[in-house]
Amino acid sequence: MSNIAYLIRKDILLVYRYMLVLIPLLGYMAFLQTGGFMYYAVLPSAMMLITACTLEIQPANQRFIASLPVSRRRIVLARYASVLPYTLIGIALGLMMKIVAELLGQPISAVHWQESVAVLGINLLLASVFLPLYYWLGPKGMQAVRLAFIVLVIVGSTTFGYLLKDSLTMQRWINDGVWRAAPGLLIAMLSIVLLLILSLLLSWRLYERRDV
Amino acid sequence: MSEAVKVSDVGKRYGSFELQGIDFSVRQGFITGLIGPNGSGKSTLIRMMMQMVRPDSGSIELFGHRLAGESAQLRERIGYVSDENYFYDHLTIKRMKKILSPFYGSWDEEKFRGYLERFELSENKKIKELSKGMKMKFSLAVALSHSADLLIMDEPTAGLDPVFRRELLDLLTEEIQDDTRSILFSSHITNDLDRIADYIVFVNKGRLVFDETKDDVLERHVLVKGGKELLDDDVRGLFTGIRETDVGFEGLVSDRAAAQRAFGDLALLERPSLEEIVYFTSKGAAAYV
Repeated sequence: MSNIAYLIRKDILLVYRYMLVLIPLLGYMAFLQTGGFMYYAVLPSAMMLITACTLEIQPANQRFIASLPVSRRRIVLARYASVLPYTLIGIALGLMMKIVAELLGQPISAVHWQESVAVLGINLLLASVFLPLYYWLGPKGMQAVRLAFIVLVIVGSTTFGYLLKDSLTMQRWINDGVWRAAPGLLIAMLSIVLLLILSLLLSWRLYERRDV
Repeated sequence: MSEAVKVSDVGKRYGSFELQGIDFSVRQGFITGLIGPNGSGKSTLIRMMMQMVRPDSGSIELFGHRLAGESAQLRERIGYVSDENYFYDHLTIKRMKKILSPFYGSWDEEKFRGYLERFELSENKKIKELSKGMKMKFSLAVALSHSADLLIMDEPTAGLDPVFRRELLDLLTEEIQDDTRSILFSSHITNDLDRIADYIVFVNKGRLVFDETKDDVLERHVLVKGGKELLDDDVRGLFTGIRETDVGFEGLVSDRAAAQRAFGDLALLERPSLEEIVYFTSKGAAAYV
């Protein structure tokens, strides 16, 4: 396993207990039907990223990471790469909540693969904005940013979930299949990739210069 | 003699504090003590070696490789003990070990378990439940379990009880026996270094005072005690630091021969301890009781 995989494994080992607290909350929300699949999938995956960063915001913990025989570039790269496993965990939890909701007699609407793609897109977008702020602000301003992002995740994933259900454009994307939606999808994907690359370069630059 | 660490003309500015023109080496196979009062720049120098802090000027070489850009793999050869607990408080020792051991190719699980046993540490205990001394022991167990060629220890004895402090010093003496390992040990508890250090690097107010063998340092300096009538402006100029009372003085002179010429049998000349050298050098001429 490469160092990047070990760094992601570290983050998962660090945050999984915090995530266990989220499961009953999500189950309760499934029962109340206050969220959809998007919400159940985005919230835990985004929370994993934010919590992993928060746990390492203290200077002492940052020194632990910096003392490992891993370059700073790889440390930053691992943070971005961790979005993929977090998204998979989030999607698994989202599906689990759908089953829970059905068992509780409160079925939520059918889950489409496009929603899983959208979960990944949202998480990448979130990481692209959150991580440079994390590397730039350090412990000082991060508490406020973390709170703002948690609110953003909750409001954003719920709104996006409703949009996916109710917006005609979104419905066309879901109903017409991938080929007719391809141009829009391609533009969205390219935009996210471009943003992600710019964000990664910025985070590299910020973290490489920082004294910990 | 090969050098595990070579620090050349290093400088760093933090607000009003400035490290300037620091040059010293950590020789392979020896224990080097880095001493100086609190805030003199010891931890900053150590963090520079770990690439946590980037110098504004000068350069640092580890095992003959200049630290620049991507030198992260060199840290695999370093066992680092921080002056603070830098592990995740909410994890158990077992889980913390699970997180960090894969990063070290030469991690020796048997050795690690041996140290846990020797230090009486339970692997199921959470780090936040450990006392300061126990946290330091865990940190040491980690640093010693991946066959590091260089141990860098930032104030490892601070907060330890005298029994474990003595055990730690014995352990370090054991570790250095094979002549290939090197140890850099920063401390303001100079008694520890009196006991084990081969070389002493003294930093004060961001400047290097000396980098010499401990024997040379103790041989060269002299503690002078005498009556006040011996002091005049010329004599005062000899002292690195002096402490005067109403009846007499004691002061440190960094040139034993010059002190002997100046005082002869008129004053008491004694071999100083490292603590006295640090005290008088830091205080300079300011001490008056």
